Amino acid sequence: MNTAAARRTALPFSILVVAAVIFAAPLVVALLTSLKSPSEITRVIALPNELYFQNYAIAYDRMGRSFLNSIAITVPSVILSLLVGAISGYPLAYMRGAGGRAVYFFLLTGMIVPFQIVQIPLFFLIRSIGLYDSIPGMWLVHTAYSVPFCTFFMRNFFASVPRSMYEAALIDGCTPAGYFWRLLLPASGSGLAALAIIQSRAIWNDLLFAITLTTSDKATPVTATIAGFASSLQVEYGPLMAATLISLLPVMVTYLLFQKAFVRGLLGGAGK
Amino acid sequence: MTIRPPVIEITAAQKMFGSFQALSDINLSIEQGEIVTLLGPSGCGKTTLMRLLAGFETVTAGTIRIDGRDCAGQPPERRPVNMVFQRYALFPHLDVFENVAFGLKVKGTPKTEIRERVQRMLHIVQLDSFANRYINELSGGQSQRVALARALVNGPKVLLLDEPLAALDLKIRQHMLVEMKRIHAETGATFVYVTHDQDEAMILSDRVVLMEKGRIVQVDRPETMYAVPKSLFAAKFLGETNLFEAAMASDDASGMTAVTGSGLRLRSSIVPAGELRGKVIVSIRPESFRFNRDNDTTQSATGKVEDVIFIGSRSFYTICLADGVRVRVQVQRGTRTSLPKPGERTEIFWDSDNVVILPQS
Ligand SMILES: Nc1ncnc2c1ncn2[C@@H]1O[C@H](COP(=O)(O)OP(=O)(O)O)[C@@H](O)[C@H]1O
Ligand SMILES: [Mg+2]
Repeated sequence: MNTAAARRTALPFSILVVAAVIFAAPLVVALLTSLKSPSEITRVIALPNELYFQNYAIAYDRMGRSFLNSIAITVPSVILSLLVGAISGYPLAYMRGAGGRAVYFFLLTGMIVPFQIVQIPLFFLIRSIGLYDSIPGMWLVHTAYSVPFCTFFMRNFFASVPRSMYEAALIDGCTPAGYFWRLLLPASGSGLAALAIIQSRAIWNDLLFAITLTTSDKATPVTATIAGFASSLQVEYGPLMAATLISLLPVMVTYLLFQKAFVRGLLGGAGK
Repeated sequence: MTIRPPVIEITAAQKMFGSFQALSDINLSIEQGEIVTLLGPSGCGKTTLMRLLAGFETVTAGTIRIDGRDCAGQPPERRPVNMVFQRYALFPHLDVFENVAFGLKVKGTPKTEIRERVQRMLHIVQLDSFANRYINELSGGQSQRVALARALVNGPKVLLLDEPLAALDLKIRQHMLVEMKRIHAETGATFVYVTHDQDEAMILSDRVVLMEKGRIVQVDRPETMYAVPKSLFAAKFLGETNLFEAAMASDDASGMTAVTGSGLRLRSSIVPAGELRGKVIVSIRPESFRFNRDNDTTQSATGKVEDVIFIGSRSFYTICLADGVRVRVQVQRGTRTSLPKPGERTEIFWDSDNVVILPQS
């Protein structure tokens, strides 16, 4: 690298390093804490004297089932919300005229309704339809709550796909539905992957719906279980941190799997 | 010559977008097997006319008949047409073969027939060995060949092409034009080709449809349109020309002589399209001037050579006439006569069949 280029990149580079350190610090502390024995736990910054894996055993013991619940809630919810977002985003991206815009803006208002406002009505609603403390109930809630954002996201992604692709398909005799399933959706891999990551993270990390709508081992996801660690009289930091780290793994794996497509999807475009 | 009904017949067609009149009074008929270009500046309504033919838009008034049938209310897939879009109309997640095969697959064509027809089409566009490439692995020129194959494999009577080469660079564009002519000859389809590039129109077309502000202003063979433009717009849009402000000579009953302000008489042997009177514009192409009086050259003027620009096969001379009017003269390389040098006085000559007298607007 020549020196002029090096000098030009030096400042942004150092800012990024500082930011990375700030963002990584809690994770590092969590990792260190999770490897300390109870007697060492109060020395937050220090390295553990010896690696104490017992925390992981305790953590897994307590949340093993809820870990599976989280997967059983997240995977179908993500698939359903992507599907709903794509299906409703498609006509909104292609429709001309004021009607489509009105529907679109109405949907967008859904994005600014905070969880807390619907929390209590939702509790009664879900209980009355018999889906309280069940995994399908969580699918329903997560999917419904994702409609505005997923529609918004997919509409904008589809709008960036050249309209001539649609017209070329029509003139060849393809129906609008055929175009959606055979061409648009398969060609939207990067957009769907980006949305899948955003949705996985949001649904996996959900705590509010979890504590409102689940109560037993049958359906409680990992976030609610971890919250339980902290609310007992004595906070057991070692197992808590171990549990937190374990619960991070699936989201990180998802991200690494879809990473390339994610960046492309966020940048928009039909994916060159 | 056998007389067949035109494959496209547009009668008194109009198109409004809200209160904006995009096309007015379009009358045009296109013969089977012709290459017709719609030529005009950006925004003159070429794409709109093409989309009316494809069925993506509907006429506000008037009728369009394709292959003898009125196509009011007929959706695109029911018309014997297909379209090559300017860019990006290929399906990025399919390979070349699947892109070309798509239309046939949708129509439920048997697999073996699809294979045959796609391979024949890929052969025609010379992409035989690219069948399994993805679209993002192709160059711009190759992508456009795929787009051509994709449209032609469906066997349309009429192929609509909307500025298909606009995104390519010059060299490839010129090559693709030659290819386009060959592919047209091999398939026998009627081509309706939209362009804003006069060179493309001249090279490619049997007939040029010149458009301005939503109207057709002239329909002619390229040579005719170049030699005998019917309006100032046509004279300026196709190629380069010298324009002289003049008035019709009152002493010439045939109405074929115009006189410039400084008294230069410009006589034309081209019968004007309409009656000319009062102020007019006279157009003479740069290559119509010569420096030597050969045969029965009828007209001449003298001036001073101001400037000479040499560009390979041709040279351009700027001649300043007595009254300060500047004339551009084009000389082909290899011309035998002695050529004047910058600063010298010289005489220029031209023939009356190269003088076009046009109404002022
Ligand atoms: N869907 C539309 N709605 C409103 N105006 C349009 C629409 N399509 C084209 N126009 C207008 O019609 C005119 C002609 O457009 P177009 O046919 O695309 O021109 P060209 O292809 O010759 O450049 C332009 O002024 C354009 O803005
Ligand atoms: Mg256009």
